[in-house]
Amino acid sequence: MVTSGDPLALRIRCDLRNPDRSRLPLAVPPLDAFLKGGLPRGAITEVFGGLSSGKTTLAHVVVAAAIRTGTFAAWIDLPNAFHPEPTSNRVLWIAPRDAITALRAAEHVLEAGGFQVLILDLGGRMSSRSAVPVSRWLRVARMAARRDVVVLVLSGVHVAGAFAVLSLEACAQHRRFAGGRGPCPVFEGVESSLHLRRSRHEPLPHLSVGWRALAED
Amino acid sequence: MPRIGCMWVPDLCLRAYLRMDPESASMSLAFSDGNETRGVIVAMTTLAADAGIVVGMRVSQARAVSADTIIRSTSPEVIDAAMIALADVASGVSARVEIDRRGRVFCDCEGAALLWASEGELAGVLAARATRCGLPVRIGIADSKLGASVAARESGGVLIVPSGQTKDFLAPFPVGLLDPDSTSAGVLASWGIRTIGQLATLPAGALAHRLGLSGVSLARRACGEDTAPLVIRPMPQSFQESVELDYEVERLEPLIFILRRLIEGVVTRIDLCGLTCQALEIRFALEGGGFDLRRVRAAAPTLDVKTLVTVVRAELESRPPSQPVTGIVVDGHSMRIRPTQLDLLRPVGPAPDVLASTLARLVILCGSDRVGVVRESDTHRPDAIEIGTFESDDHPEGGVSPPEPDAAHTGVVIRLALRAFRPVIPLEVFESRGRLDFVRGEGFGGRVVQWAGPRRLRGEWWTAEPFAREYYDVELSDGGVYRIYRDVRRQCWIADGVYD
Repeated sequence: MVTSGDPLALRIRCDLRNPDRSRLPLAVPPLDAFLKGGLPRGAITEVFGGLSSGKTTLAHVVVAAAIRTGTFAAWIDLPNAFHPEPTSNRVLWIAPRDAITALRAAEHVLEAGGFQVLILDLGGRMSSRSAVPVSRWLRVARMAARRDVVVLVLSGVHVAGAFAVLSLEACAQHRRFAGGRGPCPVFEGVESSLHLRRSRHEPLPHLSVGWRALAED
Repeated sequence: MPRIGCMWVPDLCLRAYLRMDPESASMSLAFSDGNETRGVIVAMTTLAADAGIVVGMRVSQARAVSADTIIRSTSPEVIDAAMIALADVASGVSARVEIDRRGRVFCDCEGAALLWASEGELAGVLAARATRCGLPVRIGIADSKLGASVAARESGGVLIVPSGQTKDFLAPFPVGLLDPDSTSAGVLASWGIRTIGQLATLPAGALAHRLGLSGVSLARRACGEDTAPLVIRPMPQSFQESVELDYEVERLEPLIFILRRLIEGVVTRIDLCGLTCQALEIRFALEGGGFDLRRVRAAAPTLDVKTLVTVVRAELESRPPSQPVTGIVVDGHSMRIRPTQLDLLRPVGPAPDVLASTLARLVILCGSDRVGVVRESDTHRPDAIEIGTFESDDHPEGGVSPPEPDAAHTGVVIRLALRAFRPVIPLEVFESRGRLDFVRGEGFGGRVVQWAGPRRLRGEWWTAEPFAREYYDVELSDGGVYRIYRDVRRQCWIADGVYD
């Protein structure tokens, strides 16, 4: 008997809800609505933003969405900042030493196949797109298209250039500290927004979306 | 009626050597029976034969005939390795395999008709597989080991003696093939018995009466029967290939070149037995008498030589042998191929062999400690992690799925992620009247806008390195919300991550 909490039931429900195979739904309704069903498969999506803007949280949401469907994800962690989540057993973690190696590692992962999501976390180290030759981006974009993989680039600034089908900027809106200036205030989380900066294929319905992430404790 | 197959390699010592070094086939090369000067030539390549060297010639004569010919002594180890490889080939088609001391491999072919269209097809398969291992064989199948052995020697490639006709097949051959002891051989010669057929016509009882047990054995073998069953060789679990180098190898590329050939040999033999390679154990003999033992394991059992070579290369590049290498032994550990039930609704993950190859390449690219799976360590330290091996057959459990968001709410709740600082960053924290005012560390700093804490955490007091920390979440004027803590024991401030 299949119950509502059964992983099989979750997968069936997820598949039924997502007839559009060209996008990976994030199971976060405002974000899915904003992204017209999720992140595009077989393309590079770029999320950039400042400190505590929520881009890493968004990447974890994308990884969780892929793992929920039973597949694997890869996380290329240039700043060596990956903090494990409960689903990290199914995330291949790679910590290259420079940006070019990071993109070469991305090529290897895409070539292997079997990964639905590839997070390319370039951190704040890449200050401009000139740090990586255009040919590397081109190769990653082509392989992502061939393997139908969601490639999500995280960085402090816009680095993927025209190779990103979708370019989003994460902005911190509000930090929630409960208890104010009391004796023991509590950090509740952050409220962030996502702004569309560039979409190559089709215009998206909204220009921005807000969402909230809560701290663990 | 039993059916026995025999695999025989002509010029075994030459073939065993060429199997390890195929390029030598194009050289003028001869093999002596061991003695440097008084030894006798036992095998040679075509070029050496063209130069005038023949079997039975003394080494000194051979050197006089052709000064350019390289003369090597036969190596029992190399011949044994070839015989074991041949036995592995036979193990792929028969459960009962025996290695003969005379360079023959016997296998039980009874019931072969159930698996193969004919015994001829079985023999063809055996010949093809042996050739794949670098050993061109002749094959005979008969009712007895003697019949099969003679058939193999007499065949140009494959000879099948039909069931029940072994006695007739052996009849014209000399009685010396039965290996009678010297007494029996003398008696038979005095009786005028020259062929096996003549011996087979003698009554067995009278023969036993005159020659004893030896006579019984001779009579049975002359009639195409075996006097003893096959000595069964256990199914191999590890497969070894080795080479002793004529010169020391210092650089990695030539070493990989030699290793590739050895790994190919190991993988081929494992494949022929219907198994898969789980791990490789490589033993390097080093100049000066030392050894260097390496154990490499792909991400998943595989038969892909390229993958295994890539993994070995990664291992050697990260830790090259300390001395020049003079010999290599590759031991392949095998396991049965495990069938996997794929999920109807779950997309297929990376193929195990491709994943193994990819992981090996990533290790070469980034380093072995920078590829894998990041897990929280089994400790109460919030920043403690460990790097594990990534495996594609790690099935998800139901509990790992994130909670389904409630679409009725406009604001969706998501767990906030932390970007870790590795290594952690020592801080200068300025306080006034119990409040955090200013934080400064390498690469960041600013006025404290808001802060939460402390959350006190103590643990591992039962170990030599207990910890006691007071955690704070601070929003700085640079826009970041950092997780910092005061190490109570060391009286210092540390930042271990930023929320993002």
